[in-house]
Amino acid sequence: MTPDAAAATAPPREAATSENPLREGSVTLRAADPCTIVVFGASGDLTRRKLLPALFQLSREKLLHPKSAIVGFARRPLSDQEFRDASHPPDHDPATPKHEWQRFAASLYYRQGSFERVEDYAALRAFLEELDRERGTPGNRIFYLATPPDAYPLILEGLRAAGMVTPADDPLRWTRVIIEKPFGHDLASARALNAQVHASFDERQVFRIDHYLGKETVQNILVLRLGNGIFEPLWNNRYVDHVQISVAEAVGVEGRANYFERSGVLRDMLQNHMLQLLTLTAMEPPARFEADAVRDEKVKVLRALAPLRPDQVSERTVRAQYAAGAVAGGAVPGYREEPGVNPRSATETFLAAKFEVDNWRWAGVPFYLRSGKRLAKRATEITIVFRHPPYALFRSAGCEALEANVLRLRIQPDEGISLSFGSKSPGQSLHIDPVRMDFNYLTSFGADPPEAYERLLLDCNLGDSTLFARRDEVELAWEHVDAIASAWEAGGPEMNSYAAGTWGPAEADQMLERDGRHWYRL
Amino acid sequence: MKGQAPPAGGNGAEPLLLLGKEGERPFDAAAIERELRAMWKSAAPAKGALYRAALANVIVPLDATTHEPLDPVLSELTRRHPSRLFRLERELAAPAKGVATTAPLLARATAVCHMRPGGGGLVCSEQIVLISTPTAEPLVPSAVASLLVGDLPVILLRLDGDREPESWGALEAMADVVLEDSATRDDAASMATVWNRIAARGSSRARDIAWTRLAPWRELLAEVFDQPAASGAISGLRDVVLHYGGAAPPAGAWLLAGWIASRLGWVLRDRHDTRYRFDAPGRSVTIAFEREPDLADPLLAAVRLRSGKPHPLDVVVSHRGRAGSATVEFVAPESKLLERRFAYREFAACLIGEIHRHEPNGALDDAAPIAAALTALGSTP
Repeated sequence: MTPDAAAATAPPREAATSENPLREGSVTLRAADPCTIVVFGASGDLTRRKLLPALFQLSREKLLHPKSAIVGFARRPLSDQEFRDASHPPDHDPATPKHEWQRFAASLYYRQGSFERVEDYAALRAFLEELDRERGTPGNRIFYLATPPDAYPLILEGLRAAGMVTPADDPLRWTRVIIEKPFGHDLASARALNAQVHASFDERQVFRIDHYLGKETVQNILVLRLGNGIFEPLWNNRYVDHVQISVAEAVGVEGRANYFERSGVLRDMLQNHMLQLLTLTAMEPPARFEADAVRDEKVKVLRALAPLRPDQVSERTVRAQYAAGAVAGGAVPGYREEPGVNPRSATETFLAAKFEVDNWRWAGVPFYLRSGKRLAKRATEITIVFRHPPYALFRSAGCEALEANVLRLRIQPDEGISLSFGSKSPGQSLHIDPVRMDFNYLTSFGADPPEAYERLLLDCNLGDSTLFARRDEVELAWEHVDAIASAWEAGGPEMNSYAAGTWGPAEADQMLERDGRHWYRL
Repeated sequence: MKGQAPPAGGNGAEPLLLLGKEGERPFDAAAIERELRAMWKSAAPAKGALYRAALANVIVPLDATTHEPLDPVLSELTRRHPSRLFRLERELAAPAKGVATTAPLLARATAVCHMRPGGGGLVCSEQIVLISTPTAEPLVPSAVASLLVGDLPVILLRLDGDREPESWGALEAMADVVLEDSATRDDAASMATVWNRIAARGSSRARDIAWTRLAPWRELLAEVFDQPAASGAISGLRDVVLHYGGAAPPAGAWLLAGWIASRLGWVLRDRHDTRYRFDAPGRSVTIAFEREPDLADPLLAAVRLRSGKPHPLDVVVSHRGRAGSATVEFVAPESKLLERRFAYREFAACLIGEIHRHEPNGALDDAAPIAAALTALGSTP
């Protein structure tokens, strides 16, 4: 092979390796370009609890370029040092060498500013350019919008007006923006926000984050399905009876009453996390494992998802609010007694819904979704319930009601996968008992999976948007949510109640019982 | 995590207790999960082959009286049926030093490990101990619910139902199977609550270990009628006497009476002194309870069965304590004395047998309501 031919067939090296060829082949191959990450809303809870710990972990693992800097931007007046002190992770591992934290802390900066004032963006731009000169960074930027959603338009406009967004095809530097959920409040507001985003950014520069997609267990859905020979042939309406997707929280509104009162679980959970899990479960294999190929297939699922007609919403959805009860060993008030919640609130804290995916693979297979706050425990799981064998061979031996085979993908906590099946119990007579094969991340790999934000921040730094939602994906999801929301606003179904610490209202159980099914316990 | 060296030799039945952090702390579900994760992470490389296993969630309310006797039973249970074990203790232990005494609900996470049969590593069950003060008792079910392993069956081992706080009734609702032992109940009315629960929930969801213990009795009584000379007598049976030790008929005696009546289609009519009268096809039959003054242990001691012509039968089946054999003494139609194997099973074995049972138990379903009905006619014959 000639040198030219070899160069032509060699895989493209990642940006970091072209800068430092010694990285090639090393475990830190995924180390990314040097850049400056600007976090808007830097004094907020998300930044402190999730973003900075994730960036610190990336730094420790040498996945964040040593020249990279993190700049917090918020209204609160703080010095760089105060920001660094406030950023120290509360559960910081005492075994971590102090110098690791010090090295990371030295890359943290803080600028006070208002999201409304144009001059503050100009000052931020000047500071970032100075930082580029000081640290030798080439002008790459990630703007992380970790603010309440009503600040998004202001920040996007401020960035545009200050000339801080480079074109997507700029060969020398790049600019990317990460936008936290909720992306809009309904389809109209999501479209308006998308329009505003696209006034400054190309879709390739936009990273709409849903942290669920950064979870190892969520990524493993595709690996399980498409990286093994045994599951995909069964992954269709010939073998699957139904699918359950459950996202249960033990917490209540936790100081987010103002936001939650306007969103409810429908907008807070179904529009993003739950429909993302559904699309990953139901999508066709993509032609390549690349961002647009994967997202094209997810979009096809959302297009195939039968929209609920107003007359179907009462029958196929359940909404409820939690009443006082006990959760995880503590007494808790009812939703309407929570601080900041309207005592006559009509916001749902629980929903269950039945969807159908109208395509060749899934016709006739219901997808039951449920999510709620103040449920018995925190757990997220996808449950694939398989059909019974076509002929009950063992009925004559008294084995009438065999349990269905169930594949459970535990997204969190206790991350893992289990498969239940029937087995003859030892003895002279024929008894078939359910047994379980279990895979557990912790005991199989001896390590906790990394935090979702680590993966997503790294992917954004690398320019890989596979695990981020695309514009059309977000808007299609809102179409389904709007269909339910408008039927609920028109009156049905009625708001039910459930005691905190239970698994939701009886009406959710009845919805499945009508179909001869039941929810699997989490 | 602290651990001990695996016990040398032996059959591996002795448990190796792996401790999490010392002492109990105020309950925090997320912290317990974190603690367990940390325990497994630190345990694996140090201990070689170590398997975290769970086939069920087992919830065991305990009090000062059931605590110690149950320890070896629960150890054996986790050896033969690895489980996530919830020990619900009520003020059994003083809070550890440094624990705020105002914390109403305390917890401790540990693991109980056993050598695999034939060696080759340890199989470990997670054990979560919840210690509640009276004010925290209503919170206990929610604490348990937050830590259940979702895709495993939930078994409630309730041996102290009489003294359990009312609020722990919620544990029953989350259980797939409730295992009780009516033999631990103080009086017949209390025993009947167990049998009524079986009647209501069905034997696939509620079991009685006192019934499990009766298996060898039922086997022997059935065997009586396998004898060629006695086979015709079953349809003419007119009199059954249950001899027992202790102050009052034990749970097993009531259940055995219920079983005989239900199997033979007898319908309870009334009680007359110590005799319970039934209507059988074409005749009236009785079941009586007779106390054996010399026997202090509250156990079933003997069963006498009699029938009249044309197939006379008079036979006494006797068994004492934990003996491995029983006697079957025929007085009629001909005199003979037989010794038969009595498959006595210890409590742990009965328990595990019931945990492994998945199919409904029709005989118990039929017997339990009759046993309860007998006690309703008067519990101290």
